Amino acid sequence: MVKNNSAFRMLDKMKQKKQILKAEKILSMSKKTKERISIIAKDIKGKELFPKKLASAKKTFSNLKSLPI
Amino acid sequence: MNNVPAYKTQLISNQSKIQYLFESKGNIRIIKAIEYAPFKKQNGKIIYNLGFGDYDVANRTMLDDINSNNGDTRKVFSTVLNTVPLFFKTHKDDAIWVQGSDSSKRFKNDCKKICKKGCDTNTDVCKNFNRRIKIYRYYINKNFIDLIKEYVIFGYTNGKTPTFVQYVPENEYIGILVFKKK
Repeated sequence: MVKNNSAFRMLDKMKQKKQILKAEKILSMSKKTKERISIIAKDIKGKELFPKKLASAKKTFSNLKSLPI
Repeated sequence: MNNVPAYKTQLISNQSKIQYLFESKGNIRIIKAIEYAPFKKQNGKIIYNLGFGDYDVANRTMLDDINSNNGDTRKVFSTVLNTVPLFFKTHKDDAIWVQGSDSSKRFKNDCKKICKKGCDTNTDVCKNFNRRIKIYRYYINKNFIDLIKEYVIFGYTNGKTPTFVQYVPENEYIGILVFKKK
């Protein structure tokens, strides 16, 4: 029983550890917003949304021979 | 767990790029986009640029170099952070690169021309420089102990020879590279 409790505690700890960036509360989206988003989504889906930033990222990494990891 | 509420996001693309849209409900309603776009493959790992900005209805384009000052910065930032675990769920071996649109030399030069912050334009000081990355750094510094249990974080230095180093809280970086721990 003691062993089981400590196993559960360990599982709880692991669960908590994995949720650091996950938001505790998600604010709902109205039907009107969903409709607005679906119209915009059709327009931009799959397009390069931030080309300047992507170009800057490519430039930064252009001379990188290996990853730091 | 991040205790700041996040807006609900709508996944609009899950192909090579991962794109989300959501609505910021601050002073006004603004549609914002989050994008993870692949730009480099190295050592079998794909590096994705994390892009984030406002949808400009008039021009049907994205703006990532303006401050909308919509009064809900924390919620918006929480929404962006909330997509990171989702990304790593399907891209365990890949990495996320974060760099603000105000972290380039070009930004500094352009900002000098229209400076409203009273910076001494004869020096290299620009109060708007690196403002966006500072938000990410502030969050990482505050939650560093918990974050490194789950992620491996590197900072990109801003010296004469910029390089990747192990992230150390309170140090200055112009970019952040994040991997998921195995």
